[in-house]
Amino acid sequence: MSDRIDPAGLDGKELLAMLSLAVRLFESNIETIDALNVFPVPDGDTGTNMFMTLRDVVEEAEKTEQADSAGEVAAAMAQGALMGARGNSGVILSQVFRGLSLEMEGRPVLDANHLAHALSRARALAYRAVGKPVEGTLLTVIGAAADAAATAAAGSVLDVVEAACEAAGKSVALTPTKLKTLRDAGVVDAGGQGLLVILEGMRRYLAGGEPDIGKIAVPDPVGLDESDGAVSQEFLDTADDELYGYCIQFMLGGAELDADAVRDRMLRMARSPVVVGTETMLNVHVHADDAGPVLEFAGSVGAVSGVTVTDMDEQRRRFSSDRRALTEDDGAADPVAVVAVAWGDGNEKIFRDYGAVQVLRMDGVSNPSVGQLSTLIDSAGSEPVILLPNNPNVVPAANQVAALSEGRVRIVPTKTMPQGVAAILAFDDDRDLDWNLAAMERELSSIKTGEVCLAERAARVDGMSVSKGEVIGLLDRKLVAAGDEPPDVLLSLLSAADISGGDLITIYWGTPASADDAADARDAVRRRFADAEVELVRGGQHGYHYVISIE
Amino acid sequence: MSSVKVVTDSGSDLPPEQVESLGITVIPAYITFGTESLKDGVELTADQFYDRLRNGPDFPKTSQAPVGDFKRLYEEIGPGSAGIVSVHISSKVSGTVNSATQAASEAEVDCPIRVVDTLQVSLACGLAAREAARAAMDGGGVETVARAAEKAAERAELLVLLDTLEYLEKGGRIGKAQALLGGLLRIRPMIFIKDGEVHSLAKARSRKAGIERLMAFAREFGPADEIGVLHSTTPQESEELAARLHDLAPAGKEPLLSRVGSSVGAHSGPGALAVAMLRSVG
Repeated sequence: MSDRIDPAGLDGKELLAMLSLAVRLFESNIETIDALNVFPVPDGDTGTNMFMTLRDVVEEAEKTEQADSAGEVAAAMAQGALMGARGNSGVILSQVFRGLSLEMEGRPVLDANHLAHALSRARALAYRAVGKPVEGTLLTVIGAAADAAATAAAGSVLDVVEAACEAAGKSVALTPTKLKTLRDAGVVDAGGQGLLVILEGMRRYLAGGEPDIGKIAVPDPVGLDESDGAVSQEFLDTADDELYGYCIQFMLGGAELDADAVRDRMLRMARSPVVVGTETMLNVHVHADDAGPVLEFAGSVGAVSGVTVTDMDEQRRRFSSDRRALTEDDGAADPVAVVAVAWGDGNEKIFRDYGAVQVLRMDGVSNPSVGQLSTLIDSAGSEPVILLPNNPNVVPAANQVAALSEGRVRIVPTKTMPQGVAAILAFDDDRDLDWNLAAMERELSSIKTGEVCLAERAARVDGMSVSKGEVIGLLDRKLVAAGDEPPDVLLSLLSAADISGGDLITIYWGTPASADDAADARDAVRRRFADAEVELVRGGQHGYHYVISIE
Repeated sequence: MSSVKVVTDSGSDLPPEQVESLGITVIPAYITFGTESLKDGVELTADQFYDRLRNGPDFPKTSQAPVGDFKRLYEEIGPGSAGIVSVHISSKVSGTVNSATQAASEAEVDCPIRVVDTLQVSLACGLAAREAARAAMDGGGVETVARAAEKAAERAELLVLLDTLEYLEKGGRIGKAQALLGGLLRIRPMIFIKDGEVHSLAKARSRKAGIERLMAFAREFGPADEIGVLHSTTPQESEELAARLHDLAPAGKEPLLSRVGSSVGAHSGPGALAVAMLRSVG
């Protein structure tokens, strides 16, 4: 139908149309991408997370008033991605849009050169966005696309996209050679495949004609061997600790200050730079491992004032031994609010009962977006907020929210509901923020979490093979048991947990089980572990028959 | 010889051998089951009490020693002594101080009587009474002895792990620990006494974790010049806890072991485990 798009460049409307097509194509491929997930649990869906992030990108871009300007549309896309980011892959994907937006600032038309530069910026941003970059993931594929795009920058936008697309396809196929987890599971990286689908959608739009939005074949994995290694937690944890080091903020005064130049320089020595202001006064906000070089550079550009350096490394916070806060300064501690994400009405009630001022209850097994988490934080009032993500897939988005909050939001990185419960029980509203952060974090190591659910797909992880629909048991997200019946798997799981006398086993039962099933399961656990205390609570979560805390 | 006499009430939970060796007089509170009223520690032992508490049918009520009992006691021990210092549990949770104060004004004795409100409970009050008794044994006058009790009370702490809040709530002594009530999960509440009242300290889920937390809080409050560990129904646990907190007390001083008696036990219930201490100054 349409002709090939003008190789001179894309305006705002064309940029949006190109991405809209890419998102439609992505939508047809969500299941294919989800099926590549290494870990067979119901809530680790890369395809779903990326799609939901992309949907927010398009929605935000559609609201732009200056729809003709590619720069304005790209800025809106970046904002949408930032707020819509879900899961590790969504957070990394949001950096691609951020790169595009940085490159396109003030530019009405996107040409081949801009797109190639934007991908380079995206690579730098994405690698910086994760604490410990792991190759063989979405990061690697972004890098391959950026390299190829640079070689085609002299041509048309289509040339750049075609080069990026081809390179991304090869890179996706090669991901198993770089990451043992993928090799063991016999799949290519899901996030990388997601990016490939987006680039392919862009290519189809630019190539013109009646675009096909059907399923796209996943490249065959390269480099598979017969090794029977176990999946480590490493892969799943890769983006969990995105924020570390220092949060540095200051004002920079001078004449003819160039915010872009300062931001670019900051990018080389810091993460997440935000530089705003005028030619005579800039407000700078960056994250870096070391404040020295940042402030030194700033001093060479202009007059630095109002410096605040905040240590973001919560792990280092020590337990305050100042008992005066407890016994003498009644009510003097600054108020702190706790908010939590929960799956299931029972679990939501538990967090509310034990002191969460707001709880974001998620439906099904979905993960909240950065925007939803921001709303949750805002609803908690103006005081410092401690956010409990309660799921490994929510930790990256939670970190994103914390980074945007200028220090108001702190994360206790609870990866499971039981960890969240332990953390909130340690919360004391008579104490200050630091005391609570330390007390709550200390609880994380005192508790083991078990989960019983159905395998979402056949997989070989942690040295075990499971088939789709089989009941699996995870202990601290490591696969330790599999079988046909939830109660049997529950017992095997607990056997692996090294239960000793006086331990407390709390079983939160979810919607896949009935009240009678749950009572029977509890009785079976009581018979098997007679020395332990066993408690049954209705969690109401979807996807998981039982979530168990062992403490 | 004429020395100062020290009185405390049965809510101070001092072990009997300490009471005897320090020459302290303990005035019993009353425990009422239904229509039967018994003197704490005199007509009702701790074992008998916890047995009835658990097996019912009546829920016990506690009442302070009446003015008449105090008056009779003061008039009995007053003659020939240099004065009486009466050291009692918090006026915010008990009427004992009221009874004692009124009796002090009515008692027909020549010697001065000083009533000390420790704003503490159980052995945290008991340790203050013990400091007073030591000052009296050293030959201190009424003011010196009373001040010894007051100074000890200022740095006295009581940290308690409970099995349930049921008894505190039923007995109307829950105070600021109300925040611990409610919720779907089984919680072992931890409380402490602050400004004479019960406050929440923390929530533990398993008893094992609760004991660890109790230790951690004791260390946070410490170091101590005096330390005592007491239980309502779990002697083994209190001995183990005392051994593990050994280093919080000054070298050469063993933690004092005691038992939560009926008047405090009616509010703590069975399964209470507590650490009492006099914090070191400075």
